Order: sequence, then structure tokens, then C-alpha cells
Amino acid sequence: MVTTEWTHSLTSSITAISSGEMAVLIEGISMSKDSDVNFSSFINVLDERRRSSDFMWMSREMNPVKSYRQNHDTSNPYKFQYDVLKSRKIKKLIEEVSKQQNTPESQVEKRVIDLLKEIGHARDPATLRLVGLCFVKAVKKIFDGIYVNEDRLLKIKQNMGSNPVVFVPSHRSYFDFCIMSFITFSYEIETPCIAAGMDFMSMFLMGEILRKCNAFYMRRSFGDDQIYRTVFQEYVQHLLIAGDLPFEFFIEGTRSRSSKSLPPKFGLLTMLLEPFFLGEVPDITFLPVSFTYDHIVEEGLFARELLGVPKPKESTSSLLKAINLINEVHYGNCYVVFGEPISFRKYITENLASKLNFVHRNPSQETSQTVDFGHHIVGSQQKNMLITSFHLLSIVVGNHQLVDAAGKSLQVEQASKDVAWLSAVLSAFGALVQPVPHRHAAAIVMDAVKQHSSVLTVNEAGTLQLATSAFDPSKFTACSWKGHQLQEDVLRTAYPMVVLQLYINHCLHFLVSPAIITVIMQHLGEDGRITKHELFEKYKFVCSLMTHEFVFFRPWAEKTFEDSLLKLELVSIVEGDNLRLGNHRKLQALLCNLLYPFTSGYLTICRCLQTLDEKDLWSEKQLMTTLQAKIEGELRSGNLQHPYCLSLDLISSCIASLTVKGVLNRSRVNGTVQYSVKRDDINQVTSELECLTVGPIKYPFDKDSGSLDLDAYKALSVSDSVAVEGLSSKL
Amino acid sequence: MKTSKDGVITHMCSGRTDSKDEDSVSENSAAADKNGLAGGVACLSATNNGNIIQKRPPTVTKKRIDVLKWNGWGYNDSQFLMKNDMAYFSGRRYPIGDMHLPFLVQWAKDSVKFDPKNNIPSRTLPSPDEYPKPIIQSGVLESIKSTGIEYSLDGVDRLVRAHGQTLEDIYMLRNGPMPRIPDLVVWPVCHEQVEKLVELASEHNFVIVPYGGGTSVSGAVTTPQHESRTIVALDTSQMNRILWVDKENLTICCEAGMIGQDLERALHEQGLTTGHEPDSYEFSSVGGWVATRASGMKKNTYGNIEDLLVQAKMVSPQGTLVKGLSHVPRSSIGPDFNHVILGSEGTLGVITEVVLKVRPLPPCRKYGSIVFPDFESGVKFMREVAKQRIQPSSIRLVDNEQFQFGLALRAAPTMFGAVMDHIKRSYLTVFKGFRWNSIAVTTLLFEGTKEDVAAQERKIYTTAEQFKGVAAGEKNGERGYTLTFVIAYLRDFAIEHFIIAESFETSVPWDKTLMLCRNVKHCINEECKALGIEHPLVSCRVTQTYDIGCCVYFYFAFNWLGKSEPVQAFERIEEAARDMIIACGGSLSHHHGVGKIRARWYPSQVSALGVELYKATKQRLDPANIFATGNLLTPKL
Repeated sequence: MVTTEWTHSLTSSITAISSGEMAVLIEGISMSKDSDVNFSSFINVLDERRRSSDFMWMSREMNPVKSYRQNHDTSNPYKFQYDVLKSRKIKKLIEEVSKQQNTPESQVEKRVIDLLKEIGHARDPATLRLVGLCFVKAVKKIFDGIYVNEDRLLKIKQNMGSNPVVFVPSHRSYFDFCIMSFITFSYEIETPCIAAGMDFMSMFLMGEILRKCNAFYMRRSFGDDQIYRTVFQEYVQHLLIAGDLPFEFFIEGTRSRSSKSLPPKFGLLTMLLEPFFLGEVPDITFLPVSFTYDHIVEEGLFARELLGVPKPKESTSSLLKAINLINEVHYGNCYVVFGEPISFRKYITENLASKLNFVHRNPSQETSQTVDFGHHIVGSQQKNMLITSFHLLSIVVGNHQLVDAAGKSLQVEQASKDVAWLSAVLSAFGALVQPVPHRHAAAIVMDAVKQHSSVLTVNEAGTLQLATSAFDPSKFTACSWKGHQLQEDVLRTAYPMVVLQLYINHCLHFLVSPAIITVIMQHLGEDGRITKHELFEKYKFVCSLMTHEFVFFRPWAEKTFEDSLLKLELVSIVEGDNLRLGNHRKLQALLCNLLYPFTSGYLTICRCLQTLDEKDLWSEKQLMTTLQAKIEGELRSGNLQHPYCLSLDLISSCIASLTVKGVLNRSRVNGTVQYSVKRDDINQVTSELECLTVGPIKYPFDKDSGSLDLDAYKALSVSDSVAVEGLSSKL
Repeated sequence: MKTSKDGVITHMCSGRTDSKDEDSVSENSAAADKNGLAGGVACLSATNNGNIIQKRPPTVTKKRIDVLKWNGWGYNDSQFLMKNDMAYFSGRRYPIGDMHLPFLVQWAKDSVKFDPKNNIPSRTLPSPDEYPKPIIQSGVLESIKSTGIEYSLDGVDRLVRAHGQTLEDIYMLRNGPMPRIPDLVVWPVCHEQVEKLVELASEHNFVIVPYGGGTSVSGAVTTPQHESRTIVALDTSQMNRILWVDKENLTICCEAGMIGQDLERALHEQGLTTGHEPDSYEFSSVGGWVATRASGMKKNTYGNIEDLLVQAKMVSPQGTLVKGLSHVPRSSIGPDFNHVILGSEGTLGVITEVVLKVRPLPPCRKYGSIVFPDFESGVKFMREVAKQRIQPSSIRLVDNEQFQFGLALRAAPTMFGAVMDHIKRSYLTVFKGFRWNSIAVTTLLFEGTKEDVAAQERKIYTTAEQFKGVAAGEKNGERGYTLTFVIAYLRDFAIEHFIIAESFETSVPWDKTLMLCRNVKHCINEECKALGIEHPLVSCRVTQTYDIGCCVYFYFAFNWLGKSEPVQAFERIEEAARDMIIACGGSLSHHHGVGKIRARWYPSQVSALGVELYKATKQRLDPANIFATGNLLTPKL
């Protein structure tokens, strides 16, 4: 009964918005229309590779497009390093440092040269072609297809040449940058210079090979090393200003182990934008690229890392082993979606309505523009994340496990119906979703399951089952654990669920705001009413609590909130009887359950923190271990249902948010970070969180999703072309 | 010819005699002559120790269309044409006159998709009944008649004084609707007549727009469109005498309506020159130079107009403003009121007489040119030249686009010439490693004694070597300068074939120069892209060097075939480009002035207090807004 109450209250709160506001809202949504990519425009670049000789293709004569045409010769990377060394800024640095440290300039210069050698790329087209050849051979074995929205890429290519171009891919796998280079090579665009982490550099041979394929190296942290910072910055800026190759970096800073978008990092972005603020480049075009994998090659690695199972060091031999492993698994497709190019100049003059001034700069404004822009890029990546059938299936299976684990088993037929239903719903939400037509749903689902046999299987009776044998935890028990050393049985059941959660996480950015709102509405009292203002306040609270879990950018909170309300209205609350009530409840339950691992995990953490003594000081590792152990206990006792709560990523995100909120006190003692708890504050947060958390909501999924009322959906999605598309493919 | 009592011989200008033929013009010149002369000399109180004999009549007559195009730039007889599928320049006034230009069309096809078949002819000169009826407030005509000053109500006379030379002006003349034009044209012949007219304006509350050579590219002489009062175009062209020449101190006094080429011609006969040579100097007037703060090509030797100006007289509704009584080299007597007159753009009064510095004609004049691998090295070279202060009279740097364009304006080479060209080109590209499509060229003009010139050359060419410059001979340099005056004709040719071509300029500190050039070019390209304009041609050159910076000129052209409203498109692009210039630390204008088309940026350039100061000046000198030109500050409607 709670749910029906809730429906009414939501309806009334929505209708409280006047029609005028509504018009504004709709306009707002059409401006921020989610993905503008058409699923039908994808081309499989491997098709061509399977038809003709790889060798001929790799050795073909080509004249790749440069990102920023220069008048001088740029082909020699060593000349490039020399130019950086002789630049005004480096000259000044050498003078200053030599004066400061009272060392001769030649010695400082030598240090700079060493750093330049450490950083520098060593473009070598022959090596690139050879590596490319090997890569193509491998990639054809690994993937069925690499899909690219070719029309957009060709347009981008056509417009290149007048200013630096920066590719900003999302980072989910090591394959991201390899595939990027493969695609640019396929489309005859110069291979981008890639900012790579130092861990690659230390790999035997690979470090140097990647250099020749235009990788340059960046330390994870610059510390207080002023020389390194200046040299690196000058190197990067010189690449933009005087180079003619595209630039590529991962704004998330690292591979996202959890498959969620990570909040943007601003260090490198700030360096990239400075030449623009100085007027040294006329504009910088940023190209957000969204990678989606049917099957992330590193999924097992990530799941283990999230659980704290020790991670092997990256080395060439482990890479080779990994390559061998690859042959045995079926990895499906990789989808590379190129987003709308963003001209930074236009972004700040049009979107942020600020006037350019390269002479009288405004540092604080530049910083806020950089932050805003970083979020804009991540947002653009998110918009174009493709949701494939396995992502949908993960949601369906995950939900089933949560509410029905002990009860009925999930039949393929039922799952297929739900996947088709979800595909339509997410389309209506504005996501870029693989269309799942009803009559092909079962086949699609079976195919998806095949790609993930390590975690999901179908038995003879047509029942979907989590594979528990794929992961052998005993191997790891001896190693040093990152957090708490988990019990074997917990690990066995947690592993497949965490892997599934990776694919659920991939879609969460579309759903998290509507889910938060749904959860809040769900927990309103008997009255079931809430003003929009109150709702927004509560929404902001949850966002602030999960600000490290999901990418929330505070200045955009209101807009995101309004957009989400609108989406909710589109799919679940409609006046009149067009939609069956059953459909509402189903989606509501699903949204709440999607958020369940997070709210319940956070609540458990808070409760555990409540029991700690205020005077105790905890190191980060101690704290995480304690919390993870507590969560394991709760899981075993059945108070917690979802093993993803064990995720160290979730725990550390929670700690970070609580620290920001001031609930946890963070201090640095002798160089190590220490935490202590503030009892009053933790009590308050816990009670607020308690109001929002209940167990998973059961809803009989098999009841009515088969007889989905398509007319109703048509009515909903008139204002949303994406949705119409999704539905028409279903019809 | 007529000898004045002070011994200055002036000519009777044709304007004063031929006006008898015109019905609507009354005349009473003799008295005015006398007054003007006496007044001028008395007021400026100089000793006169030289005689001037100006034999020739002024180049531009009162009936301007007899000599000049009514709907374009320059002489009627000089223009680019298509002849036998080849570009051709008519007339014999210019070095490329009466010549076929075999490379021009191909160049234009490549760079802006020029197609000689697409032709959009100008309308013909409007017939007398097509002009708007003049708005004449009662009493105005009678009072002007009573002064004896010549005037005209004729449509053509009014139309040709309704505009300058902005793209908007020319497009309006050729194809646009008839705008508001002046209601009356008057031709005062001396300072006193101007004083009389301004007095009448205050009395009858009519508007005066001073009109000199009509070469403004800022909209400054364009008739204010929203003015309801009678607008009188005050044509200064009949005030065209050199009043005296002081060879001892090397100063002259001339009336403001004298145009550059007439002044120079007369001075040359005396072995003198002002050395002031703006690109418009064939047609622009001395008064106009002062009113817009003009700059000449050879300012390195002679200075810009503010350096040349010793004294100016300006008639304002509240009296005549003139600084000092003697012509001293400099003074420390509070703020310099010459600088109220300089750059006043006709908003404060009419400039009537001007005392300028002059120099003896240099005995030796030599051209030169240097080729650089790219524009960047060229700019670095220019900066070094300025740092060492070794500029010759003129030094300019053109980018690759203009270098290519310069080549396109060649006449057909001889067999031998073609071979030589090939050898030179190979020398640069093969031996020097230059890329043909990134080369930039500096053109040089040296003036002075033979020894001076030789010394200057030595310094310049040695400095150039540091920046990988290669001397490219006198011929190329000379071509660069002689083409200066021809390029202005190209716009009319382009506009006839759906191509909008225009230029604008700025001044910028050295360290921002390259950044500005790069960003403005990019900005124009992007703006064109946004407007769906393909293949714009954007080019720039550095035309002046100073201690702290330089003057940069931008040229751009685009084909608007298939698009409507080219003027709006152009204005949008120019506005974006100007915003970009300012963002890059460039000025609103180096020498074109603010006028109407750049007025919206004026407040941000001079600060709010600056605007107040200007307004206070305007209020004091012209409280009734007689000079309602709408320049500098956009009038509130």
C-alpha cells in the first residue's frame, strides 16, 4: 500500500508545477537532450578487417589528418623535446632553480633533460604499424566487433586542422586507448599523443613500444617537485601549441574499477586549458568518447580489486598471460561512441556567457570554468554510454537476486521480457540503449549470457543461474589483503554479484537521480505528500552523501533534479489511466532496489561508525578493514542483502563523503592520515539515512511486463524522440 | 591666379569658377577669398618667407562624379575588369594600368571560389526624382543664401556626400535602398565662411556633417540616419590653398580641404614633403587626417599626423579652438588641446586650417624586400628592428596569403622572366628549405641620402639573417608599395562577383602580436563556418612598427553566392573579430578611427570617466549637438 500512496503524492507534487514551468522544463530537457547518437549509425570497423589483408592495410600509404596544422616541421619527437628544453619557461626554470639551490645551470639542465626523456613520446610510424598489425590480429580474436558512430567521426575529421584537438575517452579498460589509436589509424587521423601512467613505463619493452606509439608518461602525483611540474606542464602545452597531433587523456584519471563514471580530475585539464586562457591557441576542441564493452576484459580483476583481493602488478609477462587467457573467452562487442565535439571557446563564451580576455586574466573564474568544463565533458561521455543487452540483463538478474534469491528461479523467458521492457524504459529516459525487440529478446539474452559464462549460466530447464565456481578464492588467501580478509563462502557468492554490479553501475548515471527521488518518495509517511522544495532538500542531502559515489556537480543539482522529475513523470506518473498501475510499481521497485546496495551499505557503515569511540584515531586502512568486516558480518547474518556493499570503492567513497560533511575528522599525523568520529554528527546522518533505507522491495515481476501496454508508452514518449525510436524498434 | 596681399600666390580653384554653370549654386567667392586669407594668416601669425605657386587645379572637382566613381572607390577611369577571360586594370594612372593580369582570376578561383560568370551589376546613377526630398527647415536656405556661400540641393551632390567607403556604404550605393542623405551641400571657401555657417547652424538648429575626402572607413561621414533636423554636408574641398610656407622652420599652413596628392604635388615643387602618406592619400584631406588621427606609411621617418601637426583650427559652435599663437616645437602648457581636435571625428567642430611640419625631399629612395620562412619569424624580425630602432621609412610584413596574392597581381612574365621566377623559387624551396605556402615577405622603403640608405640597408639585412630572412630584391619591394593604391579598387571588382572583401586594423603590443593574428584569423574562419560560408580568405600584415608594438591589418574575403544579406554577415564577422582583437589586447583602431561602426566599443576602451570627460567636452563645445554625426558614442534614440 505504501507504493500506491506514494504514487499519489508524486503525482500531486508534479502537478504542482505550473504549466508555464512545465514548458520551461521541457525546453530544458530538449536542450540537454541526452544522447544525440543514432544506434543505426554504428559501423563495425572489424568487418572490413575481416575481409582484406591486415598487412596490406597496415602498410598502406596514408596521409593522416593533423589536428592543428603548423607551419613548421613536427615529425621529429627529439627536436620537439629540444624545443621544450629551449622554451622560455624552461630557461627561466633552470635559471631560478640554479640560483635557489646554488647549483650550476648545466646540472639543472641535465635534470630537465632526464625528465624530458622520462616524459617524452617517441613517435615512430614504423613501430606503430607493426604494433598495429599485432593488435589487429589479437583484437579480431577478442572482439566480435568494434562499433563506431562513423558519421560523427568523419565530420570531426573534416573539421580538424585549425586548432588543437583533444580526445577524452572514458576509461574502463586498457583496451580503450589501444582501440582509440586503432580507430584513428583506420580513419586516417594522426595517432594521438596519449598521457599514460608511469606503471606502463616500467613494463619491460612495452614502455618503450608505447612511447613509439605516441604515449608519453605522467607521474601519478607531482608532489612538491617544482621542476617536474614545470617540465611536464611545458611539455603538454608545447604539444598543444606547437604540435600537430591530437591529444588524448583520461579525464577520470584512471580506469574506473567500478564501471561508474569517476569525477573529473583537473590537474591535466588545467594544464591543457592554460594555453587557451593565454591566447596561445585559438581554441581547443574536446571530443568526449564513450567506451562500452559487452564484456570488460578486466572484469574479474576489477571485481577482485573492489573486494580487496590483492592485485597482481602490471608487467609484460602478466600481460602476455592475460592475452593467452583472452583466447578462451568470448568478449562480444566494443562500442565507441564519439560525442559532439566541444569547442572550449564556444563553451565559455556561449554556455558560460563569459567574455574572452587573454590579457587581463581572471584566475578564479578560470578555475571555476575548468571545473565546470570537466564535469561537462564527463557528462557528455555519460550521455553517450551505450547500454547493451547484458547491462539490461544484469539489472534484471541483480534485482531478481536481491528480492527473490531464495524463492523462485529466474527463467530466461521471464528475463527476456524484462530486458525488453527495461530497454524501452531506458530509451524513454533518454539513454542510448541497444534496442531489444520483443520477439528477439530471448535470443539476445542467450547471446549475452554466453559472453559471460564465467558469472552467469543457463541450465537445461532454462533457468538463469549465477556461476559460483568461476572464482577460486583459495588462491588469494595467503596474499596481503587490501581490506578485511573475507571468508571463502562470502567471496564465492559475492564475486558474481559484484561482476554483475559492474554492468549495473555502467548505467547508473542515467538512473541515480530518478532513483534517489523515488527512494525519498517511497519513504514518506502516511500522508505521502511532499512539496517540491522539501523534496529537493532531501535530494541534495542524498547527493551530498553520495558525492564520491556518483558524479554530482553541485551547481547543476537543480537542473539534474528537474530533469529527473520530468523523466519520472514521463515513465511512471501519468494522469488518466493510460498506464497500468502495475507498471509504475514495477519501475519504482526497480529504482529503489538499484539504489539499495548504496543506501544500505552507507547505513551499515554509519551504524558501525556510531559504535566507535570518539577519541580513537584510525588510519584509513584500519577503518576500511573494520568497516568491511562489519559489513561481512551483516551479510552473513542476513541483515544486508547485497554483497556489493563489501566493495572497498563504496566504503572509501562513503568515508570521503562523511569527511567532507565533517562527520569524520581527518587529520595528518606524522605524514599519515588519521580519522576520528564525531558522535553527534554521525548520529544525525544515521537517522536521516535510516529514514531512507528499507530492505529490497519485492514486486512480482512476472505478472504484467509481458502484456506491456505499448500504446501507453507511445503517448509518453511523444516529446522524446529517442524514446520513440526505442519503441518503434520494439514494435 | 590671384596674388594675395601677403604675397602668397594661390590659384583660383575650378570650384569657384565653374559653379556659374550650376543653377542652384549661388556664389560670392572674391570677398571670401580675401577674408579667408587675411584671417588665416592673422590668426596663425606666422612669418611667410616662401612663395607657393600651385599651377594645377585640384584633382577632385566640386562635381565629384566627373572624376570619381559615384558607387565605388577612386577614379572613374581606373578599375578591374574582365577582358577576354582575363583580369585587366583600366586607365593609365597606376603601374598595372592598362595591363592584363593573367594570374589573378585563377588565384581568386582557388582562394574564394571566384567565378567571373556570377555577376551582380550595380544600379545606375539614380535619376533626379529618385533622391529623397531634402528636409529644409524654414529660414535655413535664405540665411545661407545671404552669406553668399555656394550650396547645392542637387540629388547627386547630396548622395555622393552621404557616405564614406565602408562596405555598408558601397553596398548601399550599388544595390541597397536609398538611405537618408544630406539635405544640403555647402562649399565654404575659407575659415570665416565656416564660422558663419556654424553660427547659422546654432541659430537655426540644423546639423552639420563635415565632409573632406569621403574616404572614411568607420562610417564617420555617413549621414546619421535618425536625424530629423536639416542635415548640411559641409564640403571642405574648396578650402584647398596652402596659405604659407616657412622654409626656415620647415612648416606650412594649409587649409583643411586640401587633399593629400595635391598638397604633396605642390610641396614637391618646393623641394618639400610632409611625408604623410596614408593609403588613401590620393583622395583624403588634411582635415580628415587630423579628425581621425591618421597614420602614414612612412611614419618611421616623418611621424604620424599627431607628430606632424603643429597647430589646428577648429570651428565649434562655441567659438574657434586654436592652440597657442606661435609655432613652437613643443611646450609645457597644461593639457594639449590639439589632442581635443585630433580624433574628434567631426563631432566637435570643423577643422579649417592646419599648420604641419614638412621635410626636404629625400635625395635617395630605394625599395627592398626580404623573404622569411614563415610569418612568425617575420614578426620576430620586425620586433628586433623596432627594438634596435633601425626602421627604414616603411617596413611591412605580409603573411603567406598576401604574398600569394601579390604574385597573382603580376603581369604576364616574359620567357626570361618566367625562367628567372622558377630559379628564384627553387632557390628558396630547395636550398633554403622554405615552404612555398608558409613564406612571409617584408617590404622595405628606404629614404635619405645615398649614404644613409646604404647604412640602413646594411643594418636591416644583417638583422634579417638572424631570423632566416633572405633578401629578395628591390623589384619585389617596389611592387608591394605600388600595389598599395590599387588594392582598394579590388573591393569593387569583388563585390560585383558576389565576393565581399574588406579590411580592418588594430594596434597591439609586440608580445601579443602573433597571438592576436592567430586568434583573429581563427575567429573569422569559425564565424564564417557558423554562417555557412565556405572558403573565406583571411590574411594579415604588419604595417607599422613602434617601440612597444605594431599595427596589424586584416583582410578578409568570402563568396556569398547563394546567401542573402552579405552586409549583415560581414558585420557579424567583423564584430566577432573585433571582440577577439580586444580580448587579445589589441586596440579598437590604430588609424581608421571609431566612427559609427566601432562606437559600441568606445566606452569600454576609454573607461566610464573617459566617456564623461568626452561628453563634458562635447557639451561645452557643442551643447546643441550641431555636429550630430553620431561618431564615437552611439546616440541614444
